[in-house]
Amino acid sequence: MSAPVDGHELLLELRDLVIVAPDRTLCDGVSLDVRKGRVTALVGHSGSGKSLSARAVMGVLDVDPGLKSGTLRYPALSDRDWFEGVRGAGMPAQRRLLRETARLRGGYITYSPQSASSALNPGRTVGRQIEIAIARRKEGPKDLGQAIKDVLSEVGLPSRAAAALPGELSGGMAQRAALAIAIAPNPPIMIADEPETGLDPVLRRVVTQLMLEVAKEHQVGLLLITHNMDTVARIADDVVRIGPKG
Amino acid sequence: MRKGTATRVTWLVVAVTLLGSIVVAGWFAPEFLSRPNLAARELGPLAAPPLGTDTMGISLVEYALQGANVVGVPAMMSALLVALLATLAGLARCAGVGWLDSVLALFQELVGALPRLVVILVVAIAMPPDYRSLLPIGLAWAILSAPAAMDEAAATAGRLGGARFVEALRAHGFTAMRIYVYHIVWLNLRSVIVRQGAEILMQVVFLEIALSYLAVSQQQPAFTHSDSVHSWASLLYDGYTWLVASVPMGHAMALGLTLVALVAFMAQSFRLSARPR
Amino acid sequence: MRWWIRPLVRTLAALLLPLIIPAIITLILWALPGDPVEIVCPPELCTGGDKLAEARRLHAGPWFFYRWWVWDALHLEFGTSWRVASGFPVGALMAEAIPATALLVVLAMLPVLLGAVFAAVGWAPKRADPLLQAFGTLPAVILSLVFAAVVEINYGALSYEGWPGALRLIFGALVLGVADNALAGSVIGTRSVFEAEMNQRYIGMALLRGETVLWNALPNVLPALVGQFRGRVIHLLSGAVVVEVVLGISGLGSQLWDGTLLQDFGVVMASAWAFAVFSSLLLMLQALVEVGTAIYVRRAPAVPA
Repeated sequence: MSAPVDGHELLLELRDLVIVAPDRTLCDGVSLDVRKGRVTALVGHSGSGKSLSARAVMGVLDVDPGLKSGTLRYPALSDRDWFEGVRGAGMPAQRRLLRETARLRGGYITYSPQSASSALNPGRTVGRQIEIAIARRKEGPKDLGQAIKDVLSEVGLPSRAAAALPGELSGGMAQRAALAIAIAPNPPIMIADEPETGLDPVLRRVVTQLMLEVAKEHQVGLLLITHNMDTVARIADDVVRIGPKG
Repeated sequence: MRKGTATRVTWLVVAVTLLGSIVVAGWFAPEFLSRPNLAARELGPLAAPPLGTDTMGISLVEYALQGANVVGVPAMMSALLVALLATLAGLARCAGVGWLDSVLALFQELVGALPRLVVILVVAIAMPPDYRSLLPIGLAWAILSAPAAMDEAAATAGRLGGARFVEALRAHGFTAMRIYVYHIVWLNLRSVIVRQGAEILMQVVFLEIALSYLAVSQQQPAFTHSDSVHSWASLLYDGYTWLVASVPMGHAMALGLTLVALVAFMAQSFRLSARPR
Repeated sequence: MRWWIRPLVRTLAALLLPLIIPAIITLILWALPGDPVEIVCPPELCTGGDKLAEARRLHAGPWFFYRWWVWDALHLEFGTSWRVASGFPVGALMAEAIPATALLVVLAMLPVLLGAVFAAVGWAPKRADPLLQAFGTLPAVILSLVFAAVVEINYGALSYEGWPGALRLIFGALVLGVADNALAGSVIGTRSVFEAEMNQRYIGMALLRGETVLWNALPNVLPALVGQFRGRVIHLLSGAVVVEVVLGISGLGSQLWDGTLLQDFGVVMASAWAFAVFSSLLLMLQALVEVGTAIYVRRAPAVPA
């Protein structure tokens, strides 16, 4: 876990996350900070609990019995420990947490998935999905069309991509579209889950570089989940390593 | 033999035995019912084993045999037709023949749009008055029911990967015949084909019972058999008179319901025998 | 396949269906051995065959007969019944029969739709499926005769008016809605559509964006659900024939049955045509929903070039 860095506001604080399934421990003592304008890399091999931890910090816990211990805070919002009353309480409490954190997801904290082609809603155009994301901003834009165009151009997509359905995009374009949807609400925190998956080496570099630029431009606290150490070395400010036993 | 295979084989044996019993029973069906014996009318199975007698003193065994003769072969042919069409649809998806897929889709749309029994009655009115058989009706029912079976088979083939699945197996050195017959039909489509065929087999038998019942309840000739032959529907009609008019023919209702249950059980046995591993 | 092909095919099928059914019956009439006039009005059973032939253009050959029949049908003119209710206008028979069938099918849709809704929102547990399927295996004819017996035992064999008449309708709707896998198919079919959709990755992503699952999934499942709905209604229309005859409901199904039994081509053509029109309307509805969904899905805000 990284040491505190002055000048970069603490946006997300996770301590000692332990998630269990009936027969094994899925996350064992994960702790991380996400700070404004900094890239925190969460690394570990497949099955180490990276995506599970990312979903947990968004309030999405869909394992039973699930959360055993840990604390979650969004210090910029409040001192509240969001895992209070959920630790060891099973699925009903986790479902309650899901409902309570719904207002944060998609607005305060956004998620850019891996293999975006299958993760985007096939029944909505890219423009419509960005429009829905922009509606989560604290202040709506004066010109919606221009705002969508700006978001698209930030991620290197042409304006006509707004009229495309996800199924009509290539893998790289879909990944950019997913990134656009994630940044459109101007979120303080963004989670990028293995954005390089399924992309060729050139595109991987382009996409991760893009993420870094967007994060710095918008002063977003970026939590990057990856197992690619080259990427970590190139863009991460802080590194958190996890494994099956923490 | 593994436990799962043994179970499937057992169900297959049960299903084939039941189907075989129906077909064979039909072969032994008398062309005409026996002469009435009013002294032995409306007797239960205990008084007139094995199945009792009707209101004319005729053994219900003859009804059961004649009914089997009416439904046996036509129902089987209808099931085979649906199985064939489903197989074709599955193979067409794997063959990657685009236009054939589109033609089948159009066929499915048109045929699937029609209320089946309405079309069956149109087929019935088309039959010459002196030709009465379940076969054309059963085959028509099978064609009308084929879209659902073909859809499912095509979807199953699609999940395999369609033409890419075939390509991959060709790359492993398998012949086209082996790929289509063994890998696709036997290993993957068998469950769908058998299940859909069993469903149609059951439906055609029930359709015959329904059409014959409607006719016998209105004292009209049936579409599915000649006047000298009696369908299982006659048993149900006699049972109905027991319900409403207290005519002592409850054993006829019991026999009719048992035969219906056996057909349903046979269909279920076929389905269980073809469950995917 | 391009998105507009299926709706186009459905629309074409919808337009063709009311034309195909009378065409098939016309072909049957001319394909059967003997003079069509004598088939329709056998000399040993009815008189006035020449007048009938004149009125219905039976002497003019199949094409003219068909053309004029379709033209008259579009003006809701179906001639008179030849045997079911001799001399009675078929249009009047249909006007009496259609409401009964429509009511029967609408009532039967209640359990079917309720089952579908329960399945969609997750209130239909899978462990109830074997029970539903067991009920569904019951053939409609058997269930109908049991209910017919109940009514006749309690109210008499000629009990068609008032409460007994309503009871026949209610029982008929219950039979239609449950037997022959109507309810089971609706529950299991709807559940499988939603389950397949819920397993898609984009649903999980929707949750991670704080959005509701139904809002995301509905446009994608709607065409499949409407297709299933159409299939269910067609299934019910088909089953209405048996239920109406056994329970003594004077609907379109029993009229079609009587016409077939008595070889009254006038009644058969009109009744079958009415069923074809119902089916066409359902096809059009499905095509419209597909087009509407496709337009909705392709909505995009205006973005400057």
